[in-house]
Amino acid sequence: MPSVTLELLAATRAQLDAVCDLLLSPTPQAVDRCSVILETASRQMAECTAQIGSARGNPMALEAAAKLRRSCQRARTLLEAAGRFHFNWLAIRGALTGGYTDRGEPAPVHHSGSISLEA
Amino acid sequence: MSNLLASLVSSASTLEAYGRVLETAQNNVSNASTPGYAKQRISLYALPFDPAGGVTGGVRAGELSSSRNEYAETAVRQQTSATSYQQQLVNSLTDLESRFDISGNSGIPKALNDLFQSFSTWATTPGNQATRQTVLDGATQVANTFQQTYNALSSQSQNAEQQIRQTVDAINAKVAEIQNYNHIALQGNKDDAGLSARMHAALDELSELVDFSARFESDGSVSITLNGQTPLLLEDQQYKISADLTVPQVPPSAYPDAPATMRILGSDGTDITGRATGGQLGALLHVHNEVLASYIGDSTQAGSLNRLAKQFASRVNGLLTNGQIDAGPPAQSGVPIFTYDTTNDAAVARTLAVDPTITPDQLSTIDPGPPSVSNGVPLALSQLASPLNDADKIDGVSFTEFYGQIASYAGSQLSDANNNQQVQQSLLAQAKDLRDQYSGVSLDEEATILMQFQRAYQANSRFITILDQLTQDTIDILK
Repeated sequence: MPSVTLELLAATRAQLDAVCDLLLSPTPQAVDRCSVILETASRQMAECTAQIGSARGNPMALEAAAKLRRSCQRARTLLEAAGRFHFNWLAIRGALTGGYTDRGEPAPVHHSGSISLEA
Repeated sequence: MSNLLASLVSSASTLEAYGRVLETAQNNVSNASTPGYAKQRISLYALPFDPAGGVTGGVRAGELSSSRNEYAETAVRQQTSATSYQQQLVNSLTDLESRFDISGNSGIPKALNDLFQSFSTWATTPGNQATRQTVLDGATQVANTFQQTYNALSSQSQNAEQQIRQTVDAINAKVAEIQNYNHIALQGNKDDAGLSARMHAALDELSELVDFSARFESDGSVSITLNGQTPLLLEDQQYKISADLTVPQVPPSAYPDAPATMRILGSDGTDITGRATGGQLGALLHVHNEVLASYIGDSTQAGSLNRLAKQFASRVNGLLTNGQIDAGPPAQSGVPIFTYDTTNDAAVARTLAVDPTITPDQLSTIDPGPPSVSNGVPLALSQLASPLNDADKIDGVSFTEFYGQIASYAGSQLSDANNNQQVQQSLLAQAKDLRDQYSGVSLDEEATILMQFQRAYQANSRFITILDQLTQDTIDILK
């Protein structure tokens, strides 16, 4: 059923685009919402892959799948960029506050015993 | 006694710390209306308390940490630079793509198709003078379109060269502006938040021009380096860069008259082109030195347009000169119709022309064989449109297909740049958002965010890997 396949591909792509929009502001809450959307999208995509054989050779389906892949790669790029930002900062902060471990890695960040005053 | 002294030192340190909190509050109030000013905060750390070990505790001020922390600022600048790079690529490649018509309705592909058509017509009426004249006209049109395409690409290369020089001037001017801010900071104004805002704004603008590393020193000045190696600014000393055209002397150029390569020089004259990787400058260097050079050549390559022109012209000339105008006796050999600079493979497209002394009756038609074929030459020429022999091909494909490949290279580069630009704009928006997220939170709040993010990140990462694999499987099935 090529039309069903096309609809599933388009729906999955719309979900991934929604994830991309959320990742523009990657707060923990936004990234949590992404998980829910991505889980639904994964289930939908698994269903789509199971019945995609009937659309073999369909150029419209192939184009839709290629667009979906681009959306997927964009979502991955945005997620990884947000991850790099947070994790690199965590490492830098660890090194600034605790130096380096015996293995040359930034010290883990400890959160006890600090006071933060806002002026 | 030592414990008493330690307690006094501890108290003094604590008072100093609270003093700095008050200074920060004063700074925030004074600069509330300064454009671009970011509120500052000071963090106080509780020191370890162990009287038996002489550790008396107390409170110490951490480094003055601006809410516009440098880490987030650097991330935004890096994404700004990458976005600017893609934007410049899109602009330059849009111009380049317009030079190549892949519809076959104009330019080189139309001229080639018209000439192939004239060869076919000539094969059916080999003695017809009007048909022969059409062949010469078609050949002239092919030569003209090669010259026009070369000149258009050469003009774009010169335009890119001019843009590179302007960008280098703009970089030097922006660094000079920051140098002035450094000078002010070094005069004892390192904590001037308004000055800091102006410095950051200037660094943001510089990041559109080129990718660089910036490091704020304890004296309030900022050091700027290209790729962390070539200094542009240290304290109040600026190191200007420059741009020039060069033909490498070592190894000697294989194509001495080919277009020169653009390079960037440090203040000491060393070649730092490889370090100017991002921003407008990086994109312009890529377009000038790599993309355009791949078409019109440089010191190391003839360029695909020149290769096509040479191979086509020499094949047509070869078929004509192997043929006969008159079987004789005495037999009269054919003559070549195309002329070009045979001493320089990088100059073929711009010098390609039809010999103006050739007349229609000088076109050879007879393939001497054996067996001799009276219209063998035009037949062989007409087969260039859909070649079967390797000698009629270039890199294993027909001349028309080869043109299609070099034209589609420009198109695919532009398509990639457009896609990358969209992704980059998202990454820049994300980096700015992350900077703002970090701007108003305490260190403890930040730690909570990091832990929450880490957990959510791992779940997302797993799902995206699954989706990526399923999408690839789908594409493989659909193909």
